[in-house]
Order: sequence, then structure tokens, then C-alpha cells
Amino acid sequence: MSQTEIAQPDPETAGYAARAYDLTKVYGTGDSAVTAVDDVTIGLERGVFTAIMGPSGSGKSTLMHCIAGLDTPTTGRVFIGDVEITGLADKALTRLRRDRLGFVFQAFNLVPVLTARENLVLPARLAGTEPDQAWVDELVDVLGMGDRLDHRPTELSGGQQQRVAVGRALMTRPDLVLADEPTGNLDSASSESIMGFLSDAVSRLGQSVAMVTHDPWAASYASRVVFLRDGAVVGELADPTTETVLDRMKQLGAG
Amino acid sequence: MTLATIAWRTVRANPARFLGTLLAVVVATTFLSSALVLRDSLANALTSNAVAALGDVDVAVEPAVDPDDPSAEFGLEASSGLDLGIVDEIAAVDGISSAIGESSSSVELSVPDVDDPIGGTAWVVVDDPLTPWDLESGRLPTAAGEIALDVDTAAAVGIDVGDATTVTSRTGPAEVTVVGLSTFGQQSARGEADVLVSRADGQRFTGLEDRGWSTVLGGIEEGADPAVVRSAVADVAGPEAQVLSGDDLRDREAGAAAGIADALGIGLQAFAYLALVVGALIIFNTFTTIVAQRTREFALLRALGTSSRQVRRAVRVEALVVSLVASLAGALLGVVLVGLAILLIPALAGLATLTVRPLAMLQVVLSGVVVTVVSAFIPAWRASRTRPVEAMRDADPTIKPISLGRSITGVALLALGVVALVAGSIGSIALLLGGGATLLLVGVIVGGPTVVSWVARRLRGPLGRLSAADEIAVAEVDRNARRTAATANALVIGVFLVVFVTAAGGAIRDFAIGQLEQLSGADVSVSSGSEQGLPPEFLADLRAVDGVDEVAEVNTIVGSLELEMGGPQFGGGGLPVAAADVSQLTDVLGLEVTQGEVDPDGMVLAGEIATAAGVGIGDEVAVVLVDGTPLDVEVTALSGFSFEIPPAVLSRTVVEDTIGPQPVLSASVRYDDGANIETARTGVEAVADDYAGVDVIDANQIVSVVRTFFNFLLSAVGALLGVAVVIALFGILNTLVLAIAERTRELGLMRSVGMTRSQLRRMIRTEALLTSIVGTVTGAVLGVGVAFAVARVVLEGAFTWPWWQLGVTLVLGVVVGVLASVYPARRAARLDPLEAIRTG
Repeated sequence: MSQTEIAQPDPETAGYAARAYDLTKVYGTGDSAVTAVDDVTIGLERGVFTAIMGPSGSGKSTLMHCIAGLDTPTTGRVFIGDVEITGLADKALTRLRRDRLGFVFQAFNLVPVLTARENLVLPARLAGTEPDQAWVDELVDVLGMGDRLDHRPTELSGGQQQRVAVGRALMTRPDLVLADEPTGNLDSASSESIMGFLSDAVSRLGQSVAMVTHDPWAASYASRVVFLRDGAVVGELADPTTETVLDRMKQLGAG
Repeated sequence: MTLATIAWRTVRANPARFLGTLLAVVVATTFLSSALVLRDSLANALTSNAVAALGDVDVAVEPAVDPDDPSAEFGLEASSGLDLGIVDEIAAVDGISSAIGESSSSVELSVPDVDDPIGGTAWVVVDDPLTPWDLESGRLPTAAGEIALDVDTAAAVGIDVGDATTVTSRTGPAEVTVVGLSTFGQQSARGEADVLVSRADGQRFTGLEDRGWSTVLGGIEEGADPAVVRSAVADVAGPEAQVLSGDDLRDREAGAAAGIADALGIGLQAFAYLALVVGALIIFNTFTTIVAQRTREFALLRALGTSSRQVRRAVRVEALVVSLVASLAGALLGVVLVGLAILLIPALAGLATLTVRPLAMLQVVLSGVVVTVVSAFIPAWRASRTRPVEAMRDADPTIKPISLGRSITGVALLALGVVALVAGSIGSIALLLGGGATLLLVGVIVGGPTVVSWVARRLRGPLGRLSAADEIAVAEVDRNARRTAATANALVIGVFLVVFVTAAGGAIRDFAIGQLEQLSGADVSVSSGSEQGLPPEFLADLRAVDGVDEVAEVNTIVGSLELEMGGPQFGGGGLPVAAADVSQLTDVLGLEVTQGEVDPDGMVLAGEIATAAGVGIGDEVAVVLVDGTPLDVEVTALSGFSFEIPPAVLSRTVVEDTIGPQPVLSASVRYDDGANIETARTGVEAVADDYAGVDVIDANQIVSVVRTFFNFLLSAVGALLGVAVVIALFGILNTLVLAIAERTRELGLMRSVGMTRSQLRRMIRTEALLTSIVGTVTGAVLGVGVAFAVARVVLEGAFTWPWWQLGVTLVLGVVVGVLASVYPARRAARLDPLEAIRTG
């Protein structure tokens, strides 16, 4: 596969969980202005596990925050499904995040005063709807947390906390799960379980997942890797392994 | 960089963090500052006036105070004054330029078109430079029936030179003409009316001829030796009098004036210091929280080689910086407030001159600083115990659970407090009451977190069903139970005092009114001003008035009764005996026959008098009727006590059979049950207007005076204590701002997973509401409980539940909570959801 082949969103939009067109994000003004994301156009296909990779400062987190509606792009347009989120008011944006997106952060994923189970159903509670009990039971079963579910986050290990976070992200059956370095703070055994869990969600449940990472091993769980450098998309890799990702990173680093 | 620089920059960099502390200290010190400035302003004006008004006096003569006279002990004026002739004798002393006498007595001034009479003092004046009053216009009174009035009173009631008015003294009302308007020193008013009368009216208004002069003031001629002149005056005055120099007199008068201001100042200061104590709780809370949040910063300082003593000093210096800024602002604000009050309130303008003493300002600033620094003591010590290794940890400051020991101690203290209060109430033991109240308050402080946590856990289910925002709010309150409790405690103290004073004061008021109403059974009384008494036609008209149920006729005094009684005697002449129809007295005045039977030929005697005189039912007593006719009657019934009728009552038939018809001098009226009191009263007055010399007297006048007095007292105290509640509001605001800073990541996380801004605001508001309601309810329950226990003992159980005030207090709690949450909630809603990830 050619390293210059860059995915362009299909005119047929139904196949994408999220799309961004000509997305640019500039922080600051004048001399101190920094272009974190530089004219990126990207589509995240439905039912696909996409990894976004790049060195520190490559703009990968900013790109994800803009797609998630957590940050406002300077120029460009972002769609979740077929809803354009650029220009949405805070309230609509919040609802969209609640109902159509799932989040897994690197750390501090859970509300400390709520138990694991309460954290799991928090988006549904915020929406004021009854969570789908069968779905909750199924997720709880897959999470394999058993009686730990009634514990507070501080009483759980880091890996357990991340599993609850992934469970919460899947809870609303979102259009897209966005994960920001989900294994960044974990030991290797816990990391493996989280990554297995995320790729299972894609392969078994048809969930769309986009993950920001700088770890080639984590990226190898994805079916597509998009490489970023200096705010621009510089390459893409399908069906990666740890080795191919490492190779490509070396190439990009050298080139 | 010195520690002070670090502290100053910390404060400047995080003003919001110190907002609550700043506001709390500013409010409390403003209060203290205005109390002190007001005191000094009053004292300054009063003393300088006393000095100015008595400026020309060189010698003063007063009756000597007999150390054995009991009245001297109470600071009462000597009962006998100086001989009337002494003024001329002193004036004749070699070296005396002139001498005047002083005599005064309380009077009331009644002005047409002004409802309530104005209280004042009548002073006998003569035209002499020594007279303390100056004239603004007109002249001094020189003949009977003339008065001069102070300008302020004259302006207040709208009378001027040439107008007529009525002055009521101990000898009754008198028509007078205003001939001049006066000022006293540089001061226009002294808080009551100054009625200046001539020597000719001295007896009528001040009892001058009977009592003599209270003081004689004299001036000494230039060139004469004051000591020699004074000793000559002393020789003239004799051993019954003492002689003072002008300076001694001025010092004493200035001291008395300052004493009035001091008493007011002490009362206000007490409230100001209470406000500071409430502020101390907030300061303690702020620093405890800030120190916990800055664990890593302190750990880093420690790791870099800062000693724990230096860390402790750093926190204290921060407290010092904050309190210094706030106290200076408070001191200044107090001055501005008093200045504005003097400018804007005319009554105060005449009484006070804005006076700012550096020492008072120092007291304000020192109090603010000391309270703040002391409150920050424990937090500073905690900060200094931070271990360097904590700098490396990436953990949020964890909250230690409430220790079991603290929970048990707290609950035990509360339980002991309740037991002591109940026992003290039942056994009427004041010490237990006080002890119980103290135990309860300490128990609230120690056991507060346990109680808050317990309440929060109970509320979590029900509130969770309302909304997720409420559930998280209540969970946060539980997690930070210690901080919530400390925040609420500021409110507990304020509300406790407000409710206690209202409930206990209200109970005392109602008790007093109840007692008074029992004593006066009638609704209104009419009395005759003439010896002919109330005409029978009038009584018939009176009975016909719409709303009048029953009229009791009393021939006020028809004779007297000599009884030998132990204990203090009633003034000579025996007990007054009245003639009436006893059944009317029973119906109208609620006179109770406690023993025996009412017999038309017998006497009804007040039970207490009978007991004191050793007279019982069946005993014969000797009455002397008004025309001197002796009449022996048997005591056939004993009655309760009533204010409105003499203690001995004979039936009218017995009296009139013996000495002929007697005038009805007064009648008491009882309205129909459910009658409109205003309409009935208007009817009675209309009938009375048709007959000359008939006066209508409100039986409940004294009741209304008592009620007005207590209500004023209660609202004044309530307003002062309200400051404590305002400070508590800042405390809640402060805690929320701190909590939001502490939970930035948590809030960001919740925003990213779908919490809307309005849900976030609701969450903050619920936290504030829970805190304020817990504080208000606890304070109200304690206040009512302690007031009830006290009322049981002091008032023998007469206690009106202050439902209305409790309702207001609860509403207040809700309002305080909502108000306190507005700013923090807006701050929280503005937070960027990305914070959660960025700081991660």
C-alpha cells in the first residue's frame, strides 16, 4: 500500500461515523500562534477501529477533541453521522456527546463519588432515560467485574477503572467511541485486556472506535492507522502490526 | 524570594480562592468598625456638648450624698434638694458673679394632630449666662404658662413660637404658649424634648417648692480666687450640701455622656465579635481546603529544602496578607457607613459628630488579623506536615473518612446536651440549661460531619430519583461531610441565635401580655371627670352601642377600710372601698370569686388582702363611708386580684340605702364576642363625645406598649444577628468556589460525557441548598429547643411556638443557599470540558 494514499471521505456519507473537512485549529494569535491541526480532511468509517498516531505535538489529541466537539476548530467542518457539529450551541453539542459519542480518557475517567455501576449508566441518567437493563447486564458480563461494580473508583485498580470507562462509552451504543491514550497509565496485562475489549466491541458489536495513541503495540489492534505530523495527515496503514507501525513511524521520523 | 513574596503572589494569583475569607473578614470588621466609630462619634458629641453647655459654670452646689441613704446606692437623686433661698445667698457671696438653681422633672408634651405624647424633661430656667440653653429664636419663659422648647422637637411636631400646646406633668395637663426655641450647647436635640419653664411654673411642672433645687450653679468674678470663693460658698451652703468646681462638674457630665455612648458601643461590639467568630469558621474552612489542594506545592517546597517551619510560616503569612487587606477595608467601610448615617439620618445628626480614633481603627484591624491568623493555625500546621514524597504522587488529595472516635464523641455530646436540657427544664436547674445548650453547640461542631453524612446518605435515594445532578450533589456533600458541616456551622450559629432570641423573646412577650390581659378583663373603660359622675342617660346610651355586651358601673370610692396587716402598709387612710354590682364585675372584668358566696349585704374582699390581714369569710370589718358614716359589714366572699377595681367591694344597694345615691365615677365595657373592636370603640367614643367630661381609656393600652417594646427589641436584635447570616452566606459561596477549583477535572469529565450546563448549575445549587438547609434546620431546631427549655423554667411553660418565624427562617435558608450558589454555579458552567483531559 502506498504511503501517500490518504483517505478521502466518500461522497456517500452513510458509511462514516464521523467526518472532518479542511479542519484547522490555531491556538493563540500573532507571533505566538500555533497551528495544532493544519487543514485535515478525514473520515472515520462505521464499524472500523481507527488509530490516530503521531509524536507529541503532532496535533492528534486536538484533532480528536475537535471531532468530539470538545474543542472548536478555527476553520473547517465536522460531522457526526450526518449532523454537522461545527456551529452547534453548547446545549445541543452536550446532548450530542451524551447520546451519540462515547469517551475513554487516559486517566480520571470516573466520577469519584459514584460507584462503578453508577458511572456506567451516568450518560443515560443525565439524559433522564432508563438504561436498557439487558444491555447493562450484557456489558457487566463482558466487563467481568462481578462484585467490584458496587465499589467506588478509588477502590478499583487502574485497569478496572479503564474497563468501566470503556463500558460507559459503549453504554449508549454511540455512533463513535473516542479513546485518548486509553492504556497510557496501565501495566501491560491491563492494557491487553482493555485493547482486547475495544477491538471486540468493533468486531463483535460493529462499534466504531477512534483511538489516539503513540504506542505502536496499541495501534496494532486497530484495522486502520492514520499518521499525523505537525498537524497534518502524513500517512495511513491498513491492518497494522506492531512491526509495520514501527517501521512506518521510523520512515516518517526520518522523512 | 522571601516567603512574604510567595504568600503575596499566591493571594494575588488566586483571589477567588480567598474571596470568602475576604468577604467574611470585611463584613465582620466593618461591623466592628462602625460600632466603635458610632460610639466615639456619640461620645465626642455628647461630651463636648456637656462641656460647652456648662462652660460658664465655675462652682456647683448639690445636696450632699448620704452614704447610708439606700437611694444613693442606686444612683438616684437625693430625695430632698437645696433650700429655695440658697440661690440668693450664694449669689451674695463675695466673688460670685451670679447663681442659678436647677430643677427638673419628667413631663409629656401633647401637641394637637400628633397622636402620641412626646416624653421630655421640664427645666426651670432664668435668664442668666449660666443657663446651659441658648436661644435660637424668641425668648426664655418669664411668666406662668410660657415655655421654650428645643428646636428639634419643635420642628418634629411642627410648632413654632406663639403656638399653644399642652404639657402634662405630675400635677396634670396644663395649657402653655411656646415663647422661644432653644439649643443645648452646639447640639440641637438630646433625644427627648427639653421643656424650659419659668420660675413661676416651677412648682407646677417640677415640684420646685416641695423639693427644692437639685443643683445651684454659680459663676465667679474675674480676679477672685476660685478656691476662696468655693470655700465661702461651702460655708453658706452648710453641711447638707457639697460644692464642686466647674471642671469637676463638666468632667462628671462628660463622663455620664460617654457612659451612655459606651453602653451602646459595648452592645454593638458584642454582636460584632460574634460576627467575627462566625467569620473564623469560614476562614478555618478556607485554609483547610486550600492547604489540602496545595499538597503537591507544599511537598515540592519541602523537597526543595524548605523546612516545615517555613511552610507553616508561609501559610500564616498568607492569612496575614488576606486579613490585613480585608480588615483595612472593613475599618474604612465602617467609617464610611457611620459618616453616611450621620449625614442622612437627621436624628443622628444632632447627636453625633463623626469621630475616628486611631486606637479604635487599630482595634478593628488587630481583631480581624488575630482572628484570621489564629483560624489559620491548624491548617498551617497541617501544611507543614506535608511529606516531600507527596510531590511525586499523582493522586488527588484524598479525603480521610470521619474517625469513629469523632462520630461517637459528637453523637454522645449531642445526646448528653439533650438530656441536660430536658433535665434542666424539668428540674428548673439553670446550670443544666446553660450546660445543655453549650454541649449541644459543641456537639454540633464535633458531630456535624457525622450528621451531615448520615443525612446525605438518607437523601441520596430520593434525590437520585429526581435527577442525576442532584444525586451527584448529595454524594459530594457526603464525601466532603467535614467541609459541608464546617460551612453549615457558620449558619447554625447565626440561625440558632436569631431563632433563640425570637422564640424566647416572643415567649416572654406573650407571657407578659397574657398576664396583663388576665388582670384587665374589660375591653375599654370610661371615666368621669366630674364629681357628678357618669350621667344615667350616658350609661343607657353606652349599653345601646353596637358591639357593647355588658357595662359594669363602679362607684369608684365610697369609703375606706382599716385593716391591720403584716408587711408593708398601703399609704395611710385605709383601703379604698368601692360600690358595684358584683355580678357585673364578674361578667365584664372577669373578677373571680375564689371563696364564699356573693351576698348583697356583705363585702367581697381581694383574697391576698384578706390573707395579709388575717381576715376570713364570716369576719366582720369596719368601713367608714365617704360622709363619715361607720358601717360594719361581714366579709362573705373572697376574690382574685384586679387592676381595675378597689380590693374591697360593697353592693351598691347597701351603700345607697345607708348614705343615699352615689355617683358612678367609672364604667368598664366588655364587647360582644366577635364584635369588631374598632367599630365598637368608635361607637363608645361617639357616645362619650356627647357628654362633657367623659374620657375613654383603652384597657389594653399597657398591653400595646409592652407589645411595641418587645417587638422593637426583637427586630433590632434580629437585624444585628442577620449580619452573622450574611457572613454565613459568604461562607457557603466560598466553600463552593473552592470545591469547584478542587473538582475541575471531575466537572470537565461530566461535561464531556454529557452533563449540560444547566445540569451542572443545578448540581452546584443542590450542594449549596443542602448545606444551607442543614445549617438552617439545625440552627432552628437548637434555637427553638433551647428557647422552649428556658421558657418552661422561666415562664412556667407559657411558650408560643414561633411557627411563623420558623417558616421565615426555613425560607431564608433556601434563599441563602440559592443566592450563595449563583456565582459559583456560573463559574462552574463556564469551565472548559477539556480541562478533564488536559490536566490528566
